[in-house]
Amino acid sequence: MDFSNNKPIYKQIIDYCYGKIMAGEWLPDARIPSIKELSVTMVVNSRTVLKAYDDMQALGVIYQRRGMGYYVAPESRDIILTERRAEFFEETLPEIMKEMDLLGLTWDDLIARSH
Amino acid sequence: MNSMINSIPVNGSFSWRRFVAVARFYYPRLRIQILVYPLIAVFFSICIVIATNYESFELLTAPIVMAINAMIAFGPITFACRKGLETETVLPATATEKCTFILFYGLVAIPLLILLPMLLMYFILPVDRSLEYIIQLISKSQNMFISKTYGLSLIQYCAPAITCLWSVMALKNNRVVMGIVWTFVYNTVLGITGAVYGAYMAFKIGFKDGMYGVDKLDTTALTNAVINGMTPYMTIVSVVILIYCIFALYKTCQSIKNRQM
Amino acid sequence: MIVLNNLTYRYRKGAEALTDVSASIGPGIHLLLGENGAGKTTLLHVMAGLLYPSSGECLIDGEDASRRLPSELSRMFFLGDNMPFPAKTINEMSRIHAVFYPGFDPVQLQENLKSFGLTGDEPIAKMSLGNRHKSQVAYALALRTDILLLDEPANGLDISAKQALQSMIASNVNEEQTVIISTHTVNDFTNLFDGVIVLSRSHMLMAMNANEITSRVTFTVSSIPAVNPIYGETRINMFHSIVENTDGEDSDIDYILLYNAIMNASSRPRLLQLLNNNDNEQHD
Repeated sequence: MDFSNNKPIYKQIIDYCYGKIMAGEWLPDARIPSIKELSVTMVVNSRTVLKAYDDMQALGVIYQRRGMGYYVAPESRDIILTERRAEFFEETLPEIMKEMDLLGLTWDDLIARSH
Repeated sequence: MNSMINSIPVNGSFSWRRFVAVARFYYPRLRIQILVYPLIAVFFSICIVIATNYESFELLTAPIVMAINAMIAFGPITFACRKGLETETVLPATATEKCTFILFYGLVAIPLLILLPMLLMYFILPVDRSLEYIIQLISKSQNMFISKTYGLSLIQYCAPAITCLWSVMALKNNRVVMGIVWTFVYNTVLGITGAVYGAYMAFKIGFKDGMYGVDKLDTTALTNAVINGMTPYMTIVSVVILIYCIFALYKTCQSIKNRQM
Repeated sequence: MIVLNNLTYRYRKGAEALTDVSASIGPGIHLLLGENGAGKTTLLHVMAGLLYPSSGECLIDGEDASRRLPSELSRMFFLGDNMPFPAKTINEMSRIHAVFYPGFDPVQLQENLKSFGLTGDEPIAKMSLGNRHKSQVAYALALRTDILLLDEPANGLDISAKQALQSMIASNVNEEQTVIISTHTVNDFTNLFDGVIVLSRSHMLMAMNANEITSRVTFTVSSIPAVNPIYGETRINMFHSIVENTDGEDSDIDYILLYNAIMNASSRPRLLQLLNNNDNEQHD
């Protein structure tokens, strides 16, 4: 995987997993790739994947079954949506607003554009 | 996995399995020598047998014996015929196993590769020259004079090979060339000391005899006198060579065990 | 675990290649950095048991590396830069040499060779430098030794081979193995490293795990300069900086930035002080 943007790699891995869940490729209660498997696919250190998995587990997006691996939690889609919305408001939106200031755009310009 | 196939132990005690693995490690580079030397030995045997039917027997056996000496003396060079000394230096075997194999092959196996086929030929082919005569010829060419004890003669016979093996194991670059060089150095040093002392003895005896008014210097008597006079020299030289050989073997093992890369 | 205790290596002429080097290096993939002549190759040689220290010691799981015990040697493999193999082909090498290494996986060797497009029967002497290197690294990884020391493994490899090598390392190496990769081309493997070791002019400047580093400092990239950075560089109008980690978030490590920061005389003291965090624990 090409980790070209400035987001920490473990966060990009989380995004990748969220993408898989939201797209329905990883279904609730289905087993997801092990840390080792994903580290080989992504060509990153297992430690980085572990961090991503730990974070996702803390949020309740995935759960672990001892000796059997990691699984998608049933409520994962809702959690991911909440997380992504929070990220949108905390990070993406302020960036957009900063850009708007810089370019002298107003909300009306955006509304007009979106139709 | 390796452990399922034929695992060799990893502990520090001598292991024959691991010894065999060391031998197999070196085998590819020794393969040609193991094949060619006996063939050459057989060829030489046939030559000698043919030569016994002619009067020029002596003339033919001398170069053959020289060739055999060279093959034994320079035989250990095959160890230097592969690059990759690093993997050899830290090969996971005990120093004892490595030294045992290398010394055994260089100093025992190589001569046997020549002498055993010749022995076999001696029993197969019709020849009435005794083996002892051939061995005497060999030792005669090795030293300038026939050595008194057979055992010491054997050590002296191996000394060039020990020198070659020592230089091959101790050097890291130009091992083949320098192996040859140092063996020549050994032979030359031995030859020069012998020649110098021999000349000195001949002069001393000749001078003494001349002083006492001996009319004509009888060459045979002179030669015998020199030979007799050289006996103490030979004993000393034999002992020195023996000490040298022990020292060289020790240094060879040190090189194998503690080579720094 | 590789433990270096006041390790010093002196050449015969008296110059020191390594001076009083101490560190503990545990499992993981470690990056070994240092300028040319810093002592990296010497360090790897001492660890491998190829060189004996002049003073101090290098312990491999408690055993002195210079004793060259089969029990330690069989758990370790060193692949030097331009190091020849005493075999005509890789397959011959595996027949005569791999038997000494209990972890060797012949299936893995074939897989590794295949991903480089090789069979293992190619005569090594006739290969290009790149192919020779590929086959050697494929072999080294298949030995599955607990400790693997690689000196410039990406040397002579083209881009696709470097990618194949990265994947190969990621899939071949497990968490219990200690791999030390000495390389100038940090970017080739940057996502794989667990730790970094920096040598300069025969001294060890740092030997730390990535976790320790990211818990104490943060690597930022921004279009505006950072506030009070420990060290900073401008690359294509972006400010790359190392700052103290105040929010507890883990960033990725920019190893080139880290290396430049530690080699820079003015930023080094502050960086080291922050990294060592008053713990007096410099390693592991």
